[in-house]
Amino acid sequence: MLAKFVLRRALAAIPVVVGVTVITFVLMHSTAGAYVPGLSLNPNLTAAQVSLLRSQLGLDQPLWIQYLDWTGVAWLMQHAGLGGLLVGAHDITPGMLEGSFGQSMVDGTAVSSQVFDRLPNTILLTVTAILIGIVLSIPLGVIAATRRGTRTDHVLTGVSVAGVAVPQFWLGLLLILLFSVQLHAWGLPFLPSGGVMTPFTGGDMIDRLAHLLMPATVLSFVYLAIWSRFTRSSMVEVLSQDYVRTARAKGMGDRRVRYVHALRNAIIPLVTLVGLELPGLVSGALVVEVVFSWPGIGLLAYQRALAYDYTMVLGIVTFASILVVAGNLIADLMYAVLDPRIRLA
Amino acid sequence: MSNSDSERQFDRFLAEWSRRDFLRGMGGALAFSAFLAGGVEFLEACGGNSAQSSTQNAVKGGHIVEGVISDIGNVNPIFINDTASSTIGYLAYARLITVDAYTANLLPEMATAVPKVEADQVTYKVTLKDGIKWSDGQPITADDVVFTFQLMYDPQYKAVTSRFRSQLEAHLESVTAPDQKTVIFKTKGPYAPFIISFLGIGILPKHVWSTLAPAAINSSPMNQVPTVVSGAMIPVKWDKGTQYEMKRNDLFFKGKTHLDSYFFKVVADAVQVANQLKTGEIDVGSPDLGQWDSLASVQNIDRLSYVAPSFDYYIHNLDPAKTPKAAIFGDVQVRRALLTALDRKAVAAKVYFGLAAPADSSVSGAQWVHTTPKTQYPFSISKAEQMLDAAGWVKGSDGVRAKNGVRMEWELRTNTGNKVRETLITVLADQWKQIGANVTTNPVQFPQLVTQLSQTREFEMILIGISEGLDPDTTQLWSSKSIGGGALNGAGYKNSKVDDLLDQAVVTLDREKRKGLYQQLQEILMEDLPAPLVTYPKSVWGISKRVKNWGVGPWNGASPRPWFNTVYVTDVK
Repeated sequence: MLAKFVLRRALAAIPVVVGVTVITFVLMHSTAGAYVPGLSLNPNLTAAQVSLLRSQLGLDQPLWIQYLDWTGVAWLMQHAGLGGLLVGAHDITPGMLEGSFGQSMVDGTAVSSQVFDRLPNTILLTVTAILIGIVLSIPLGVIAATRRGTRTDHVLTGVSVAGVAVPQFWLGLLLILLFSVQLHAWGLPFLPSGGVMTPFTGGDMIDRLAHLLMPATVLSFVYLAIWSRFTRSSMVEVLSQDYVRTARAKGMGDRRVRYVHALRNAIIPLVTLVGLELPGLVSGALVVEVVFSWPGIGLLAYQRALAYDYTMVLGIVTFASILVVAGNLIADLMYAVLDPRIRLA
Repeated sequence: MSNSDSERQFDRFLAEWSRRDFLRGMGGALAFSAFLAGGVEFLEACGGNSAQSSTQNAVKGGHIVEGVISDIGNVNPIFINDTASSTIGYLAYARLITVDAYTANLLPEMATAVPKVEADQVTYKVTLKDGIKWSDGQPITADDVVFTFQLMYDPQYKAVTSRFRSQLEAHLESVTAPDQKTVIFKTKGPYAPFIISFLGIGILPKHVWSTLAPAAINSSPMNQVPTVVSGAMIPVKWDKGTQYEMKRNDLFFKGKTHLDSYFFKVVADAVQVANQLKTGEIDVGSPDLGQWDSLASVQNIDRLSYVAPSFDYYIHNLDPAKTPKAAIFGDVQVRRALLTALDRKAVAAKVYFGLAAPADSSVSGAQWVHTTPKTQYPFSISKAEQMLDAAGWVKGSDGVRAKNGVRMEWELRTNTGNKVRETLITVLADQWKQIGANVTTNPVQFPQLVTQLSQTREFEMILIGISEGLDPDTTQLWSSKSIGGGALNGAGYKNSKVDDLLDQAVVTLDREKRKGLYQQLQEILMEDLPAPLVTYPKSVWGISKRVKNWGVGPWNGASPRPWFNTVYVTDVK
C-alpha cells in the first residue's frame, strides 16, 4: 500500500522536474540566447571565428536538440539507433546522464562541483537563521500573548511588522555600515562585512561565528517576525480554552499553565510552519548571500546569471527544483505515515 | 529654479540612479574582449601606483588580500576567458613577453628581448633567458613553448578547446625549436599584431601536460589549481566562491616576491569592495564609482584612478535597409550637430562621478596610436542648431525638427544593469531634445543588444562600451567587412579609404608607419562620425596604505602584472 503510494507520488514528481527544466531552459535561452561571454562584442574576433566557437559550444543547433542534448536524451537516442531523428545535431554529449548537472558555459567546470562546494555554506546560514528564529520567536510570542494589549505587545507587534516590511538587503547594508564600517572607523572591534572567514588567519570557530552573525541575524528577522506573530495568536487562542481555565482553577501556577500546558499545544501549528521553510534551506538565502558575499548557492546563481552563464544557472535551478520536489515528497510521505486518512489523497 | 538648484536636483537624480556596480555593468565579456585575441590582454579592472614605487626599504614577508567581484573559472592561459582567471593565471604562468602598465611598451619576460621581425616579414626568433625554471625545478625550454602552441593550433590537439585556435590557424604557419633556448615563429603573411596577439600567452610545462590525452586537458583540475608553474606565485588552494590562495615561488626567475602569500577574495559586488577596503578586510580592489568619494576620507586607503583603454560610444544605424531612421543619420551634418549638442565634459563629471574623460578621437588616450584629430566638435547648442537649420531640418510646431516628411525622432538603446549607461542615455536624449530631436530611451538585456548590434542590426541608435586590445587594429569596428555576422560595425559604415587604411595597417610592421596610418584613420572617423565616442571611462582602485609598489595601470590591471615581485607590505603581516 505504502509502496504503491510512494511510487505514484515519485512518478508524479517527474513531470514537475521536466516542466521546470523546460521552462528554465527556454527562459534562459531567450535572455542569453546564442550570446557567449567573452566572444560577443569582441573587436578582435572575426565573424567566422565567432561562429566557429559557437558551433563548438553547440549553440548553432536547433533549440529542441540543445535541450535533448542537455538532458542526455539525445545521447540515449543516438545509442538506441535513433540518431537519425536528430536533424541538425552534432557533438552529442551524455549531458545530465553524467550526473554533473551540466557544465558552465564560461569556464567548463561541472555544475555539481560548484554546487556541492557551496551547499554547506548555504545550509549553515539558513539553519542558523531558522534556529535563531525559533529560539527568539517563541518566547516573544508568548510574552506578547500573555501581555496582550500592553505596551510590550504593541512594541513586539511593531517589530513584527518591521520584520516583514524591511527589505533584507537594506537591513543588511545598514548593519554592515554600522557594525563593520563605523565600528572600524571609530577604532572599535568590528564585525566582518562579508565572506565566511578571514582569508589568511581565519577559519577557526570564533572567526566563522563572527562572519555568520550578521547574515544569519538578517535572514532570521523575517522568520522571527512571522513566527512570533503566529505563536502569539495561537497562544491567545489556547489561553482562552477551557482546560487552561480548569488548570488555573485547580490552583496550578501561572508559569506552569503557560509554558507547560498552553505552549505545548500552541506551537504545534508552528512546527508545520517551520517545516514549510525547509526547502528554502538550499535556495532561500539569495539576497542575504549577495549582500554579505556569503559564498552559498544563492550567490553562485546570482553571479552566474549576471555573467550570462546560462548552462550553470540551468544546472543550479534543476538541482534546486529536484531538492524541493524531493522535500515535498518526503513531507507527503511523513503525513501519510502519521495520518492514514491522507494516504488515498 | 536657479541654476544651482537644478544642478543639485540633477545630482540627486544621478545619486539615485548611478550608485551601483559600474564595473560589473560594463559587462565582463566586454571588458574582457581583448584577451581572446590579444594574449596580452587589457582588462577592465586596472590601476597604477607608480608614485609609491620604491624598493629601497622593501621588507620580506606578509600577505595581500585582493577583493574581486567574480570567482575564477579556468586559469590555464590557453583557456582563460575572464578577468579573475587571468589575474591568477598570469601570477602562476610567465610568458615570453609582457607589457608596461602606462606606456604599453612590450617588455621581455621569459624572452631575452622583445623579438623583431626578420627581413622576410614573417619570421620571429625568440631566445629564452638562461637558467629559467619551473616551480618543480625542471628547466623551462623551447620545447615547452612549442608544446603550448601545439595545444592551441596543431590539428593533433583539435580536441583541446583553446579559444585561440581559430586565430592561430588563420595567422600562424609554424613554431619550431632548433635548440633548447630558441623558438622560431613563422606567420602565414606579414601580420603586425602578431607579437602582441600571440607572444603574451602563458607557457605551459610540457612534462606535466603532455602526459594527458588532448580531451583530458580540457577538464583537468590543473586548469583551476595548476601544480607546476613558472610565475611569481604558486597556487595553493581554491575554495570555490570564497577565495584563491597562492604562495611565493622561490624559483621565480625574475626574483622571488617579497610577499609570502596572496589571497584572491570573492566579494559579491563593487559596493562591498568599498566596504571591505574601509574595514581592512581586503587590501586592494576596484570599488564602486558611487563609493569613490566616501573612500577619500578613509585614512588607511589610497585612491587611484586613470583613463582605461576603453570608450563608451553611440552608434547610428546608417543602413536604410534596416531602419527608416537612416534617412536622419545618413546626413553627416546631422551626425556632427548631434555630437556638437552633447556637453561631454558635463557628462563625464556628472554621469561618471568625474571618473571619465571626454572623448576626443576614435581610440582612447591609452592607445599608443592615439592622436587628437584636427576636427573637433566643442559643445554648443546654438552651433548645433545652426548646423541643423543649414542642413534643412526645420522645427515643427511641437519643437521637433523634420525634413522631407522625416521627423527627427528615434529610439536610443543601451544595456540594462549598467546604471551609468542607463543614466547616460536619458542625459543624451535630454540634450538632443534641446535641439529639436525627440529621442526615446530603451535599456535592453546585454545579449539582445549585442545580437541587435552585430547580427540582426535592427536598431536605430545604440550606446555601448568597448574595451580596447593592446593592438590598435580596429578592423572589427570600422571596416565594411565587419557589418553583421557577429562583427561590430553595427552602423553599417562603408568608406573604402578607411578599409584600405585598416588593411594596410595590419600588414605594416614598422611601428611609426603603422601609427601614421591609424592617425589618418582617426582624422577620417572624426569627420564622418559613424559612431562617435562620448567618454573614456576611468578605472579606479582603493589600495591599503600598508601595500607598496602596487603598480596597476591602464595596461596592467588584472594582468599582466610584471611588477608583482616588487610588491611588499610595510607591516609584514
